[in-house]
Amino acid sequence: MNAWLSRWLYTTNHKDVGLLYIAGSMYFGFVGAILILLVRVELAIPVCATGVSGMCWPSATQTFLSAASFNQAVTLHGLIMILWFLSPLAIGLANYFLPLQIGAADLALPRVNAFGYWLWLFGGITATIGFFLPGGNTAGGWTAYSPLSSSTFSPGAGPTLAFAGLIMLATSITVGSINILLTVAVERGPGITWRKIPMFSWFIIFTIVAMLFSFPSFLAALLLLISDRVLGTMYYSASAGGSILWDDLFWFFGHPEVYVVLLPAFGLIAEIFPVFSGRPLAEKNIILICTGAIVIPLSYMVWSHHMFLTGVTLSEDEAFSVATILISLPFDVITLAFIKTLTRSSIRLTAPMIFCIGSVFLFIIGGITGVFLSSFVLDVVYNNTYFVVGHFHYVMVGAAIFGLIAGLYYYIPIMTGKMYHEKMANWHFITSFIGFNILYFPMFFLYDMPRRIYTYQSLPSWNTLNLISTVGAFIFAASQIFLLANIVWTLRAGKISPPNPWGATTPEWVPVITGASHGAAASMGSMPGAEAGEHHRHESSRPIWLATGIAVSFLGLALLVYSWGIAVFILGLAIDGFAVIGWMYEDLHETFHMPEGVTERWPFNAIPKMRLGMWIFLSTDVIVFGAILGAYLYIRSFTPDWPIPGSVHEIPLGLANTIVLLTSGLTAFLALESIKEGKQRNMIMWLCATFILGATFLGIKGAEWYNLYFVKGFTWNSSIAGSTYYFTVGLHAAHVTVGLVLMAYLIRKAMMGGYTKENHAGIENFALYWAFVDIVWIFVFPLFYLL
Amino acid sequence: MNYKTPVAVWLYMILTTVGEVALFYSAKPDTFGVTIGIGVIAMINSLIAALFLMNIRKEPPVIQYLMLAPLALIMVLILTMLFAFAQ
Repeated sequence: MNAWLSRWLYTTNHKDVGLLYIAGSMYFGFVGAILILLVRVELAIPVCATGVSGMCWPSATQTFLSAASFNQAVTLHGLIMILWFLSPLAIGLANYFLPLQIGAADLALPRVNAFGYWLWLFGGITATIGFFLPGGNTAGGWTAYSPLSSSTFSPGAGPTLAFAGLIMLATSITVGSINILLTVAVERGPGITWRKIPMFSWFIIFTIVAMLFSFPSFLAALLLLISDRVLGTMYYSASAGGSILWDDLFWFFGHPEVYVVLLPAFGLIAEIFPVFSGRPLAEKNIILICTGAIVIPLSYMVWSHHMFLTGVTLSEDEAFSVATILISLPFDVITLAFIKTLTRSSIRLTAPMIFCIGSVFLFIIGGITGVFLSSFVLDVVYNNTYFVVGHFHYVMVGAAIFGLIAGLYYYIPIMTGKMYHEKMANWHFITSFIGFNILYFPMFFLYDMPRRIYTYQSLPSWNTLNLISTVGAFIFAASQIFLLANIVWTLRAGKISPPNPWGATTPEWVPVITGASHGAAASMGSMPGAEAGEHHRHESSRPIWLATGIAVSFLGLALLVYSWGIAVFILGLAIDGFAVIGWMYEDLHETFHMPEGVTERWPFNAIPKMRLGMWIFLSTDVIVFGAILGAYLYIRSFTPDWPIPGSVHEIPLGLANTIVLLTSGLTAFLALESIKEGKQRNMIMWLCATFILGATFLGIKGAEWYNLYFVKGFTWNSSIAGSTYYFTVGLHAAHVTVGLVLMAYLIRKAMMGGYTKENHAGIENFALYWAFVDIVWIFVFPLFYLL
Repeated sequence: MNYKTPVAVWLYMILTTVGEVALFYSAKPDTFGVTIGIGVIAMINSLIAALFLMNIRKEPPVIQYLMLAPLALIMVLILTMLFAFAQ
């Protein structure tokens, strides 16, 4: 294969993956912008009143976009901009610069990093395929509220593919979060203690913590949704209170996501302000404490303010209203600290600096208008209006994107080895800032115009404001041409950058601090020989194949309505099987090996890297299973005619299966204890016993399902009780199946003498995983069989 | 190798699980006390599995917090959902 192509397809290098994320997010940003420009054209003018002509659409059916097209465009605009543009742009910068800032050779799990990227990219492509299918794409808004997202109101393969794309995205973000957190925990270079971690990396850590526990909830919600759509389960049916269930699971993710988008921008501001103001960041420790408080617990304590008007109790409204006001306080402190940094300083107005100042300015407007919305009384008026649209765009677009663009300009010298065109960047800021405010400020005065309407009757108070807003949209979109042009100009004609053009003091600019061989050497356009050598040693085709297999199998799943859908699904599984075997082969023969150097690890000194990774993964799985079991409890509380315990399930069979699984937990533990003492034969024996017990568990489960489904007629789409049972037990069985695959690999490696008294991380991690599977079943058995 | 502790833990969990089923058969299943009893047994069993099979008791406190944080967050979510419409 062409060397250039194979580099970008098979790379696992954090800089390459970072650049891929940045390029990919810009592509999706372009798609999202086109979609919203279509929407703004539609909203620029109203429908003509009877007998009137001129600057208006002739009738409600003769508009620029049809209602269906409008809804699809606005829905995908939201999804793409938040999940495939804003967050990934930050992830791209984090991929590139976090390892440099903390002196790590790469991310802790490079192949997982590459896998996360490809899954994210294919997820985005999958989500947009629906535009080209009969029936179009999902059209229920980016929030995918139930029942709008159901097969009844959003029929066809397009919406299913969009939700499948979201599942891929949530999985990608979750594995990416685990990877970055692991890197920070155990891969910091010598001397990089927690206190010495630069601010951008600190804010990325906070962002990752917010992602770590919020995206699994989204993943759980989406799995239930796709199960409803493909299998016909009834999680989000009205009779089970499904709308509120979706709201809770979605916003438990959705509100922290706001901070996921915002915090990286704040990290860049905290990095850039001191460099260009000549003063150290004011109140650094207080900023860190405030950001920590925002992420945990406050960001997880405010989601219900999105549900003030859903009829939840007044006391819940009050509690979430107070929590929402509370979360504004640390933001006030952070903003004031930023402003204090600039006070009486010598500001250099370079592009990164002016974009940062713009970001803070826009955040203040967005933040103040957000305080209005924290009141559940005012929310009655503002809910679902353009005031809300204005507010969140000031925060998520204004503050976030201006901060991220500042970061791009700031780091272009490292990423390209060249200097960008300063004057062009200044024009970029001026036109962006003007365009942005012309676009969004009028929306605060459209507080009586409902959002998500595709057209409107002529109203003097709406017409002009909407027209102004549309003009602003085009200015804002067009201004981004300056950025693209600047990047192209920089690559082709930019002057060679000095090693540290800004006089920054953080490790990515001054590699000698960490001893890492990073800096302005690696570039988008070329790859110096030494770096290329390092890169090729870490090349792997497995990540892209694994992601491809998942994408293809989801494609098949969504297209099951066609006779060939099942063939596509099986093809996807086959590709995945090939990729997994290949991945394991690489591990077995150590063809892909990341040596662990001397690193700062406190307080994780005593924990091997992979074990810590497993703990972090399990912490996310707690959220997934917690959300699924929470959904079950919620549905039970809403469903009076639940089958009497014991009337459907064979309790003795369930008990027998529980004993089998608990026994397998013991044998897995004994396998670990055996290898800790160097007894390899015993370890293999106990592993084999665990495998047999796990397989027996699945066998009994299969027999039980057969009996329930075919003999008793208790199917997953016959009742909500059936839906919850099959889904929850099925998800657990999927975990057991993954455990069996892992065990097959472990047994094979153990027979090759791959584990010793000193080196048995694989067995240790598996024992942890298997014990977790046991614990989940300890709850599932009584909940579904006895209560 | 000390087999006593893991075997004792396993035996305890088997017996209490059998106890759950016995509790179920001993009374009307929808009795509140039975629900509470079975719930408490499940929680204790999961705690024991975490302490002895996952060996979380031997991990540094930071790992314990790492597992407690999502548990606490998910409890907030579940309780909020359950009491969303309680009068």
